[in-house]
Amino acid sequence: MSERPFLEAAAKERTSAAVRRIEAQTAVEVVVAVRRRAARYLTTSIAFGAACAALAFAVMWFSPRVYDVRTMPLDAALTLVVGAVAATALPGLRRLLTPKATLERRAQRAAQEAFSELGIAKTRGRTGLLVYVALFERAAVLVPDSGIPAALVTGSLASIGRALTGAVAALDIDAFLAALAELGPAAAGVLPRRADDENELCDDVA
Amino acid sequence: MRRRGLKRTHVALFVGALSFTTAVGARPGGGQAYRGGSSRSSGSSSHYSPSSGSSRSYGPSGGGGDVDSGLVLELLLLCFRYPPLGLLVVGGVVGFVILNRRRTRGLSDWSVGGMPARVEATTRTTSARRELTRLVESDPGFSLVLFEDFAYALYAELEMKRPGGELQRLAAFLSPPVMELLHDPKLERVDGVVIGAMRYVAVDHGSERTAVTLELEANLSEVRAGVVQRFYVCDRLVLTRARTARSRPPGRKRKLDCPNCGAPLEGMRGTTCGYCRQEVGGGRLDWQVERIERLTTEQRPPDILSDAAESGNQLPTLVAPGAEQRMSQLLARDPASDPAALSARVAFVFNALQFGWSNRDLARIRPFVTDGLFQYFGYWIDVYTTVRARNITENARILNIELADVVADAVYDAVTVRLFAVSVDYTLSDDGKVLSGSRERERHYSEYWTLVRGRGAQGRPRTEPVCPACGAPLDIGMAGNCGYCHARIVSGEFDWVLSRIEQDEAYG
Ligand SMILES: [Zn+2]
Ligand SMILES: [Zn+2]
Repeated sequence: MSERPFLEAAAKERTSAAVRRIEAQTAVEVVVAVRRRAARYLTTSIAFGAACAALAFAVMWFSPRVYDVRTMPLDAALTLVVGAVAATALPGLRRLLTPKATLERRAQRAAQEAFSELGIAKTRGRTGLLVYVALFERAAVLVPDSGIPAALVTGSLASIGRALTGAVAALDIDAFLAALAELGPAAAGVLPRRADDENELCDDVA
Repeated sequence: MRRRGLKRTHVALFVGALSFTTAVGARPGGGQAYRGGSSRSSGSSSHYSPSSGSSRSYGPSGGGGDVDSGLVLELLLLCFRYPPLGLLVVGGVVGFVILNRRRTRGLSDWSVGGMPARVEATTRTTSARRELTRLVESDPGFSLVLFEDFAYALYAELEMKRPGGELQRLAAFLSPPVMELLHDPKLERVDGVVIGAMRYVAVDHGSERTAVTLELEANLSEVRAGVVQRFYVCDRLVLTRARTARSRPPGRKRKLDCPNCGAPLEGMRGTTCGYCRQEVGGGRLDWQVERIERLTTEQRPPDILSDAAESGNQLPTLVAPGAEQRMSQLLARDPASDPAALSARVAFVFNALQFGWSNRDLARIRPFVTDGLFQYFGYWIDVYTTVRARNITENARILNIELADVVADAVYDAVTVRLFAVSVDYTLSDDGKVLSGSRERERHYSEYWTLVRGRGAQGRPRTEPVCPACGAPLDIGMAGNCGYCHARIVSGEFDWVLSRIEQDEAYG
């Protein structure tokens, strides 16, 4: 499975078109952010290296072969490095080793950060909605601003969020775009597009 | 287990070689190999397989009597001992890295949506600003920089003079309905007006009058019944001026005085000057505020945490047509202001700003920015101080500077560059919590910076902290005057000062 379909320029263009279609129907301002990963997971790599080292130590200890006791610590240290590097170089391995809850938590936190970094809270009606995709984490996180009604957030947004996560987990860009498109009709009923929507945000500096 | 299996294989393959080398002393890895038998005397220095108790044991496929230095080490040594194997391993690793690179080349993170509305709105703003410069066609002395200074000064004055009958002094610059609207008998005093932003909403060149609609965001400290109240307001002003009006001569450019003769406003009787006896109101000779409207009033400071948009820094630099040519005209007049020297000045100002901003130290910023931009910094530093937070830009550095525009009017040269920079950017509360941004991750961004300098100035842009007028060490008061020679250095009469900072999505 490759993450490529989500990172290609074509994906960006298609998403951009989908967002325009959504915003033609509703006052919700959707921002889609696709990130290769939400965090680096250095701890996972190092923990894996340490586990390899412990295993190597055990093998040397119990092996019928004789190992030089003075070089054994050095060997264990080397094993740690090799293990950590391997886990860093192989994202699949690293994902397998990281607890699912950790992956989800990291994606959530990174999404909150992106929300403020992208300035999504700047809409006048506070109707921004961030769709944050973390590919490594195989996660899609929705971050709605305070102006989006709670009923929408707990109702159709939640189910669209699940569909988006499913699509990202399967690395299926078509399914992702299909789920994304549902945001338009879902939000239009609650927050229809107003005539003066293009006059929002006017936020240059000085 | 796989490691051990590997080891067995190599032992089997190279059993002959091993039997020669195991007893050899030093190895590249530094481990000493020796015959296990002799290790009995050294006891704990060697490990014995538990299955064999304290007696020497040989591995099941061992080459006989050898001691290994470790699993990975042994593999490593083997690579050194048999260069073809070593090359194979190195080749494999390099190949993996190259393949990985190739697989992910051209793929990067992206964001879409939300931004187009922003770009549209702000492009309208800047195009209105550009539209205003067309006034030069009928009024050659018109300068956008001076117009903006004037608008800032007039707005601050009309807010400050609201209490009592003070507004009468400004009658030459305010229409009667505006005077009436601004009158507030309960208002005792205005302690401060700090303008955070000024936007152009529309510019209309009518046949008789030019109308400029502006929005100003400001922070006002008003005293009513002895109580100081702070308001964050957004006001919309319409300034108009007769088509026949001409800009003030540069000597009187920064003062609000009689539009006709330059006498102090204290001598005004209504809209008639007590000195030249001329009727000077109604926008006949100078701009007047025709309408004013308060759009929003807030008692809470604006949200600092949402003030971190970063979009559009992958867009190409917008270079104004003819910018290069106007740059060479500027160079012909002043060869010392070459792009390299200007870039050095930009970098110098950049560093001073980072320091002043992160430390909420306005004095550091003062010498390098015009009054308007200084107000902007003052406004935001005040907001941060109010909410007890600081926006910190650490390790900020410029990566590249590109020329975007050069404009000369009657009074000023203006150079706009696009600056690409990177820094760690986060907002820290005064009790040490990170409120937004990241302390570790660096953020790339770009901005359009406009520097201005009086047409009369010449010479190499300075990159050392000295007064550009007298050369004394930089000691600038908040009004922008040198502590030694008292020259006002922030109006750009002596050296390039920063007058505007625009984000990518706002510039156009
Ligand atoms: Zn006069
Ligand atoms: Zn001086």
